[in-house]
Amino acid sequence: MRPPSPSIPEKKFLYDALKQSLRLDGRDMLDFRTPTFTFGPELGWVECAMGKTRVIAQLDAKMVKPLPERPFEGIITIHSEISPMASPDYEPGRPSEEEVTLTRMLDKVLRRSDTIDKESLCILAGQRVWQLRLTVHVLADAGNILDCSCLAGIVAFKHFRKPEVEVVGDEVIVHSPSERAPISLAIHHTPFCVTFAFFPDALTRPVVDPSLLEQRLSSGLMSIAMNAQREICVLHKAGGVPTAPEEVLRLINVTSILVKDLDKRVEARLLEDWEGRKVEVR
Amino acid sequence: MSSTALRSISISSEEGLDGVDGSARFSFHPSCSALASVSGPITARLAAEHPARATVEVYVRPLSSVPGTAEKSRGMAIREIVERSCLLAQHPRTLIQVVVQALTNPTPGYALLAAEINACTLALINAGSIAMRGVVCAVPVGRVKKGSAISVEVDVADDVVLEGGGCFAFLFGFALSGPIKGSAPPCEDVWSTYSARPGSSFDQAELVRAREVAREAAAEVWQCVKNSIRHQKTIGETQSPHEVDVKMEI
Repeated sequence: MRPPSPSIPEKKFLYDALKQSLRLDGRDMLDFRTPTFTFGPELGWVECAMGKTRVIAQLDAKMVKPLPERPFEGIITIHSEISPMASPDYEPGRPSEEEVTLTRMLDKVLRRSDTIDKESLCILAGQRVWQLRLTVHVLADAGNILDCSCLAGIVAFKHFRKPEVEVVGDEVIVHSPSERAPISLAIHHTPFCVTFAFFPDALTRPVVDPSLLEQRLSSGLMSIAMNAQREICVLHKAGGVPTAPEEVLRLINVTSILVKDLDKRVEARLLEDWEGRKVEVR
Repeated sequence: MSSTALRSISISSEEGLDGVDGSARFSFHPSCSALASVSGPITARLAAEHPARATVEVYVRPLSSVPGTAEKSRGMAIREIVERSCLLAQHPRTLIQVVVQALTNPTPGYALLAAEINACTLALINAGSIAMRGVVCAVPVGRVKKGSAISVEVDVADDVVLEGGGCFAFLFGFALSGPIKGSAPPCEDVWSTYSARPGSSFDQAELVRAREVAREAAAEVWQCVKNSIRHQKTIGETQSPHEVDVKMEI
């Protein structure tokens, strides 16, 4: 039987390299892997790849009756079960710690941070609202599936178009995409998640976007979700290495620079894809 | 038998998934696409290991929402096919883990199931670690009204008018004995399902006709699979074999 990774030589090599600020894949300590996006034929389907980490996010919408205590708001649900495809270490039906963190972070970053205007999803108050269902599939885990999933999720929200709906009295008419152009969701702000990994040696600085080996050998992780307007949406540090507040502030500044770059990249890519689709306005 | 329905088959296993031994994508049509991954032989759980052969586990996951009964039934079908096509006795007490991810929404017909079966076959070939008796190719067939012609149905748009249809999977291998169609090796039936939708019915003659249509189409799918492997680059190569020697005939 194969002994569990990482092995002692791998551990020693990584720690020694990080002490000299060298990363095994040649990146700088604060370098993010460049994400690439592939959009599917349907709107709201996006595959995000960061290095070898791959995630697919798909968004669909259906009309439902709203919750009785919130008759003016739409509903957003997020499914993010990690299958054994990401790595045979993930067993289906038994959420690992990482899967729980992923689910909770996606919930905080995409749902509870008020990214989508829920009231804009209302069609007929108290009777019909849009329910958006985001499903995130992790295809390959090469480290930092959290950042990749959050990125895929927010890009799916931006890519998606919901059908245009007309309300005449008490009647709701849904127009097909060929009759009237579908409309994009009302998004307040665009949060991006950046993860840092800390290591046991006090002299080793934290690294951005850890690879699989770095993640496994880290002694603590901190994730910051921020938008391009320098507003922190989520700051998640569950246990791990005790960190001084100055260090946390320094990493927040690093995040704001990375997020600005990510935002530009995402906007450019979405525009490129939108221009490639033939959408006529008659 | 027209090959227009199979014209837009697209196969890709160039960018392998990092966490598994083999993976591949297969699509009949941009609206009918599946991704499969294979890991094996790997360690099996003590409760699941079999003393004389490998255990096969198949997980099928839909594009939206959580897996339900439809995914469970497709998983059982794929597991039966994998057990019949792989030589499991060569790897006792191990596990072959197959995960199938649907990349498009499910259809009322069997097109997505056929795409998933083909993706599994390609992933097993890509992994290269499990010996197989042959290559399994599956096609969906359907017909509009009882008595009308049966044809390969892969387009989601056509799916709504179908009143009957099914999926046939064939095992192609040069060591097998069976009918030969064109340049493909002999094939034997390994799995099939056929049903008529509510309000319609079918008879035995129709089932036989459907199988023949499917057999011819499966031979074409086999040819597509063979072509995709011929054009694959192996690790370290900069040119694919096709570019290097155009005249190479296999």
